[in-house]
Amino acid sequence: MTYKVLIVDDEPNILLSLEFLMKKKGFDIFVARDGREAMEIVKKNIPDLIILDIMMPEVDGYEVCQRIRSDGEVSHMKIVFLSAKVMKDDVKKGYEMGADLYITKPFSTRKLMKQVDELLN
Amino acid sequence: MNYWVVLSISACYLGILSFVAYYADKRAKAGKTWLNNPYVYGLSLAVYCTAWTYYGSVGKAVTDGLSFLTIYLGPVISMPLWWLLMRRIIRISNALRLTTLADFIATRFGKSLTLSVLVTLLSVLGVVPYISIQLKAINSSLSVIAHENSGYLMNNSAFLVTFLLAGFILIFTFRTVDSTQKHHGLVAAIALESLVKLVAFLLVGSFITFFLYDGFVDIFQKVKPEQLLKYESIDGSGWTVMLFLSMSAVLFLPRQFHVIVSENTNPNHLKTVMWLFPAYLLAINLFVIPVAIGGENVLSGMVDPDMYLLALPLHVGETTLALMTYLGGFSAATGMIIVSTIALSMMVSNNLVIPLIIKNYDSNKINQEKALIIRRVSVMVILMLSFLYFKFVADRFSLVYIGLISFAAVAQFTPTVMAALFWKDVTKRGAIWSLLAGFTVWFYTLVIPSCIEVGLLPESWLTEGPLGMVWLKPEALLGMQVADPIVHGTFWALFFNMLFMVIGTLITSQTGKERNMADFYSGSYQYASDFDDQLVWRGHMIHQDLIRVLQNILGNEKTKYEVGSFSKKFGRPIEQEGEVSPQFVSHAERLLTGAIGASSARLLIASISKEEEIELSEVLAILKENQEITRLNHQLSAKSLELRKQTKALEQANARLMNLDEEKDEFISTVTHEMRTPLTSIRSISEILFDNPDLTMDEREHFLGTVVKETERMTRLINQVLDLEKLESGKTTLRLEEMSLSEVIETCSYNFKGLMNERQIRLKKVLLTKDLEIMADRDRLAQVMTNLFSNAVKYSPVGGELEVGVKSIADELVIWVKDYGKGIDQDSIQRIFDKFYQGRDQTRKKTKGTGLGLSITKRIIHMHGGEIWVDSKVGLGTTFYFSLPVKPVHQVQVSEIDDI
Repeated sequence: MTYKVLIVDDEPNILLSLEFLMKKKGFDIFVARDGREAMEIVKKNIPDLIILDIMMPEVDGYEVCQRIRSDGEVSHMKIVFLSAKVMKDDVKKGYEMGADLYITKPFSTRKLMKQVDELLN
Repeated sequence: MNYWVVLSISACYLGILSFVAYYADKRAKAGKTWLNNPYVYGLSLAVYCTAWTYYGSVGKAVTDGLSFLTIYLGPVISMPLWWLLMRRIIRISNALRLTTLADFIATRFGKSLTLSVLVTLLSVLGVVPYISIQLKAINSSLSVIAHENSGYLMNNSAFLVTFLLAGFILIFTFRTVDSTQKHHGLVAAIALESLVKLVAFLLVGSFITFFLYDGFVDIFQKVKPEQLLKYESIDGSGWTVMLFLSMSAVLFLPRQFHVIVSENTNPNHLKTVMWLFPAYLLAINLFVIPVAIGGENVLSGMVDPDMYLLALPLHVGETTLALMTYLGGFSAATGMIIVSTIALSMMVSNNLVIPLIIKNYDSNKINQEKALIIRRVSVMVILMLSFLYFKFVADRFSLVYIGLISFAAVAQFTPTVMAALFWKDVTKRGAIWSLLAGFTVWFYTLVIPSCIEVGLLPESWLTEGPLGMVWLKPEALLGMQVADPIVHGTFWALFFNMLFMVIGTLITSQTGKERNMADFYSGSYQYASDFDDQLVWRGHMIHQDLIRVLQNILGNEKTKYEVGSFSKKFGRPIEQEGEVSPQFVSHAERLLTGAIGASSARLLIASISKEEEIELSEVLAILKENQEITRLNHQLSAKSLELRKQTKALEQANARLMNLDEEKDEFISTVTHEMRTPLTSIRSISEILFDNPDLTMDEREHFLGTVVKETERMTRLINQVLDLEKLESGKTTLRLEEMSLSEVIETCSYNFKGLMNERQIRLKKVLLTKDLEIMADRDRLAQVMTNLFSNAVKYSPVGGELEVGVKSIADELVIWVKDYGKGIDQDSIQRIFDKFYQGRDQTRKKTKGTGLGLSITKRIIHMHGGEIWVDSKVGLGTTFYFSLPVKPVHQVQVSEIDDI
């Protein structure tokens, strides 16, 4: 089966590279520019994994994560935070919110893809 | 009404009073005393209104018109003085544990035994007749209300009442020897009595006014013509003297001094008294004239006017109302008798009997039990004297006349008390002479005539003078002709009183101790805490002797407690053997003063010590030293206040620095964070390019183009951070030159032409002034314009309009750049000039640019001495304005601190 992956970030150039990487893996890709858009896609398409920026307009990544975890239908999905917030406390908070993984920017594409693979299998 | 019924009701009333007193005492023991309530305190002061007020005011109104009011106007007028005068007296008395007026006066003049005895004797002389008229009032009211004669007892009911009151006083007072102990139950009972008499008077007054007549207007219209005349005349000199007498009386009558000073728990209660007491006096006088008119109309010639209040309801058959009236009068009389007797007996025992025993016999003769017995015997003696006076003298005079003679006696204390407080130099001799002179003249001009009237002295004294000496006629001294003997007597008594005070003071000088006390009384020191240091004593005393005396008077337990609390206060144990420290002697003397009065305490201390007389100069030196210390203390506290201020300023500066530091940290964290974003793109794209050699040419070009753009973005960010840092730290200076504003606008719009054409944005220039010359830094101003233009272009919708304009306001040019974009919401407007303008809430919105442009712009404008602001409506567009002074002040340096 093909995994469905949702990428959420408000930086077009970061979306650009992530999209490229995921497509190459053969995933079904969904893209969102902010938290609100992300939630719509989550509900509609129920992706298997979501790569989530934290600092976004309107609804931020923390909130998206919380809503997903508290909604029974989608709470099972894997959540990877990909954020420029790199302090220890930020990372800790991300995991407390229920993330499966917290990756800091800038990131290694190889490592990211490997970890995504591990999460999905 | 049956005599026995009335008598039993009176007894019942006393029973209720006893219960209230008992209950209040019980509450006080549980720590919930009513004495802390300023209203109870205020009401207890209304003991001023005696049976004389209750019955006598009506009588006085009938005979003399409005002059009855002077007795109440005096206290009301003097009310503002209380805050100054009585508060000081209360504080001094609390500090020195003084409980009577005799103590208060004697202590000021070196605890003089002579003064102590003198004041006591004069008080007894002045007040016993006053007590007796209360008995007379009770007796007359009883005979009015119970006219069927019940034989022997009826004629001696005053005796019975005296007996009951003696019982009441002995039960509710003097349970311990400490006179400073407050009488919680007693004061509560007195406050209740004040309420009873007021309510009763108001009831019967309104009954007469509104039921027997049709209200005030009706009753005033029915006044008899000869009565009306009296109400219309006011005798000026008479009023002045009366006002003075009543002002003195309300403060210095022994019973008043007792409730105001000795029973005071908090000087601030005076604030309540200052309105409550006048209000009470007003209320109780409200119906005096209506009752007087009503009585005169109905009962003239049949009843003594003093009894109209009671006789009127009886006359119309309202026996229940009459009974209530009677009870009101009974409460007025008993309240006065009780408090006066207590105050007098305290004086007699503490200021007369005990010191005389100590002086003439062994000081060991006095102990706790004996002191109490002496006080109780004094109560009986005073009541007995009053009864005898009532029996043999009082019946022959009106209530008011005897009352006024008492007032005139008490007024003799006024000059002495005032001098004690406000004239530092007055001497003991001056005080003694003034009192002796005042009372001699008082006796001669006011008491002798009444003795003549009852036949004790020949009538010729009044008409021809004693032994034919005309200038010595008691009612026309030195040939002075005044109609009212009270006015005449008071005038001469006060005249000689003050004359002799001045003479006595001029020909004698103060001793060291007197001077010490004079300073204390005149308020040179704080009364409150450290007076043990302020009262100078020198001598030798053995510790065991002092303890023995204390135990004798205060009892073992109290002595132990007081010694303990004193050593706690001074932070060191009291010497068990050998010599006692002067501070402890002074403290012990105050404790003894509280129990047995100032002069007795002085004599006791003197009897067990070898005292050294201290020269006046020495006292002054010691006091000067103390004052020096006080002054230094003031300086110290001023210094420490200053220090506190400086500390606070430092703290504020520190907080400001911390804040700056925080801002700096935040700035750095935001900057590095902002760097991460382009860096992330660059790294991930580079890795993709590296790992995917099979990318198409187009893809490759696109990716590489992105890397270049992101690198440019980083460069821009770094440049702006450095630029802002330079501007903020003041490392940059402006290169001001004369230039044309339109030139800058032209250049700018030229630079943006391409971008604007691309988005089909029209430019509209609005130049509302021709005078566009300005002093500015060309490059910096261009930077500002570029920034604002780029924002405006960025947010303008495709095909929209962009407006740039200039107008001149005063000596400034205001420039604006306006777009018709989506606008900025209110929240963001507040922070739009902040660095990374959502810096404090980093999880939200990202800026499209670096987020530093507007901060830099604002900085540059400020450096030019201008201002920048923004006006925006969501959905309608945004306008940025900035102003520039046409002739700027040289170089405006904006330091970082200013901006916080």
